[in-house]
Amino acid sequence: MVGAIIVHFITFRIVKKRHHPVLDEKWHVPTKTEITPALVSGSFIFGFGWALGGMCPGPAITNLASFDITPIIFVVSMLVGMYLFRFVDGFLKLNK
Amino acid sequence: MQMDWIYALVGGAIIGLAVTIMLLFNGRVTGISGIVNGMLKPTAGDFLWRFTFVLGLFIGGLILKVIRPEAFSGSLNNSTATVVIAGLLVGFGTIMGSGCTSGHGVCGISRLSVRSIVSTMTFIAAGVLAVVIFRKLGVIA
Repeated sequence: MVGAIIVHFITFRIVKKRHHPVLDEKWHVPTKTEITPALVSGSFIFGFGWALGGMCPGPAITNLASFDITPIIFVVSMLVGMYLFRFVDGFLKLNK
Repeated sequence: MQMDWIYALVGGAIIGLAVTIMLLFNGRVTGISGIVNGMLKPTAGDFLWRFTFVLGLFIGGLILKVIRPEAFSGSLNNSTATVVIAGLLVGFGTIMGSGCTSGHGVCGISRLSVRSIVSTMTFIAAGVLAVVIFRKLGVIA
């Protein structure tokens, strides 16, 4: 993560000097600044699962290429978790 | 083994370049949880870029499997129940928290987003806490 931030910290500033991206008319970079309970508690839940499974979403998908059963189970569960939040959020409207 | 941190740093730098390409061409943050989540409820014109990106993640893995198969040897030997619960928490938590390691940790911190800095500190702290607890309980090695 540190290596990626070192590179992107610099390149982000260079790229954003452009008026718009190469293939689009406008930027889609998030602009929210509010620290919400959903942000903190969601991040906490993610961190717990990340440590328990040893995988975050990106490497989990790349790990599917190993054709081991573990990343397959993990990714399917992750998709179910995403659906589950969508279902719960239908009542709570946390990110609306 | 002593050189692992160099692989981590170079791998990270490659990720930094990858998210730069996404920003330069598509103007988007490379938040993998968000990209995947958007595929679960596809809307017209918003599916293909997500699908090709996820396909790229997988193809990158296939290439790595050919040129450096030992990179996959570190997969954890957790029980199926543990993996299921971990996946559920990661899916639920990343969407609730609007991002994961890529979106908040890499892209967000690089642009000094306060939300992303708070999120990253929270998920790393939770991760450390979870490792301590689960090691004590013998759930993970």
